[in-house]
Amino acid sequence: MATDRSKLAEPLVVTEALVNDQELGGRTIDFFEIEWYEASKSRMKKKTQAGIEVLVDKVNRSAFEDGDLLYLSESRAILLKIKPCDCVVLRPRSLQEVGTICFEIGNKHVPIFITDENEVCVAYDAPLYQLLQSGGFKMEIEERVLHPSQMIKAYGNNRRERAAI
Amino acid sequence: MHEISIVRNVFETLQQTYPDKFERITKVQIEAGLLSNIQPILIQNAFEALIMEEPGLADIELEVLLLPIIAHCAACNRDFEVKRHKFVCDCGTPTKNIVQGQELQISRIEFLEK
Repeated sequence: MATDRSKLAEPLVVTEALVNDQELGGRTIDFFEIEWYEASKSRMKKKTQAGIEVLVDKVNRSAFEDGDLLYLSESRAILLKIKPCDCVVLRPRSLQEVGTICFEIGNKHVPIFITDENEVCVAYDAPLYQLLQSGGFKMEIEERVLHPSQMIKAYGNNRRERAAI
Repeated sequence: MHEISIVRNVFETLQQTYPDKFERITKVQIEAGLLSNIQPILIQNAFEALIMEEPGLADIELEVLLLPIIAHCAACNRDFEVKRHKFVCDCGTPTKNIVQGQELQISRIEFLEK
């Protein structure tokens, strides 16, 4: 187990998320907050909510997930937190509508997220919102956390399961 | 869609501006206004792709700061934040006078100390 680095001047170096299979009870829980579009960054330096400087220098290119355990000591745990953002949320009623929506959004090269409730989510962007509105799609603007695991990828998704729409 | 060329241009500019110090750059911050038509995720992805091409950039952090849109209301003579592209002041006056939000600029560079 690592020593508590909260008082040290050198940044805490994180190379990958740790396996989060331990009870964190009794420890101070601290959060390393990032924007949704920073989850795939291979290198970044920021302070946690408690002011500990953390340098992320990934050994692989996998994206962080909300809730990832970045650091664990006897007294402290640092968890990754993806900040929520304004999102356009669409609730398609058929597979054809999913296809049409994803085509329109994909044309702008913007990442698409499909939630466990089969909603299509995309970070709010005014021109895109207006485009979808003009297409007659039913949608809402909601504050959401965009989870990298829910991002549609051209080369295959890493979601464990997907309910049929 | 044009983010790859933007990221290339950023690093070409830095190489030209700091030929002697370029190797010591540790962080580059880009400010992008919400009206600049820039998608931060595409900038980040373009940079990750550029690292594959030029591994020497792997020790640099590229940070994108999104700037909100700020407009000026002539009726109130004050600036206000434009949310969700509604260019209307709280007093009800619409405006086209944009104070902030169209920028796309290198705003900060950090170097490794010698």
